[in-house]
Amino acid sequence: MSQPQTVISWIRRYIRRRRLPVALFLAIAASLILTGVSVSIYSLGGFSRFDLSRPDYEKERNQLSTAPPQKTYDVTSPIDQRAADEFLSEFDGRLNDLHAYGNFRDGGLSDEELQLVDAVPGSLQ
Amino acid sequence: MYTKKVPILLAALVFWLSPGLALAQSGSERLAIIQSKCQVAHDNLDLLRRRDLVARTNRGREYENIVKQLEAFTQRVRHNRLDAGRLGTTTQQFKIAVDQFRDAYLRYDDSLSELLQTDCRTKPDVFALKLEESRVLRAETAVSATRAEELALNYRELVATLAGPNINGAAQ
Repeated sequence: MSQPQTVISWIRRYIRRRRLPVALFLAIAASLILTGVSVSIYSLGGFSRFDLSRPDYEKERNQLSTAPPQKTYDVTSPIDQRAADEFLSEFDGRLNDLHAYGNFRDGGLSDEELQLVDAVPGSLQ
Repeated sequence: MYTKKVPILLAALVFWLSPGLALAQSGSERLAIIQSKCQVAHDNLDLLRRRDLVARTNRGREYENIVKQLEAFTQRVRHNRLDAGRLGTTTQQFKIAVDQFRDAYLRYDDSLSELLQTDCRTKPDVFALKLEESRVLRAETAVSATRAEELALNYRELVATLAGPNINGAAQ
């Protein structure tokens, strides 16, 4: 018998004698590998940057809009004035919400906002 | 004549160089300010990043809701055998604009991340350069957000014109 075959038969005998410990070991190894893969995807894929459940982001979590319940739309009924009005009413509500959110136009990176300006002589700063 | 021209040329030379000199002086002053207020700038950048993350998340959710609403209404129009061509096109354009907004924000957020990792005490010039890059990318994010809203408004106008006498079967 060649050496690889000896090793394989030894492994088989070992597994047959210790089935439960081997099964537990394989289960733990598989879960560790899968956890490693998902954590890698989380950090390397950039998803972590959007995760507001991280510690130290409580204030930002409170500023998130509350997610409304999942809505299903009627896609088969006839379209009449009432349907159009309902659409426009809901749409206008969403547009108002959008306007309330930041639009990246507030000069957030200006020198004044970052306080990269010299103090005016005589002013308190 | 030669003696008259020299002062004029000198004055012209000083006049031509002075903006550059002023810029160089103000540039070096700015770098000094960046160095002295490095920690304050970093703190403000961190606050801004968090604020923008909230804006991005809220906008993203709202855009998703709008996409669902537009798709549903377009499908309903098609089901009623009305002309939904422009509605469908505008919905697709809106979805593309939303994706562009997401991509623009990612580029902007990456630049902010690099900016926050730059030590402005030892490398104020690098910090100043990266700050300019971030400003450009933030402006691009704003433009893409505006574009998405404009397309949503286009859809609204189409629905508003669809309403009224054109409802109940008449094609657009």
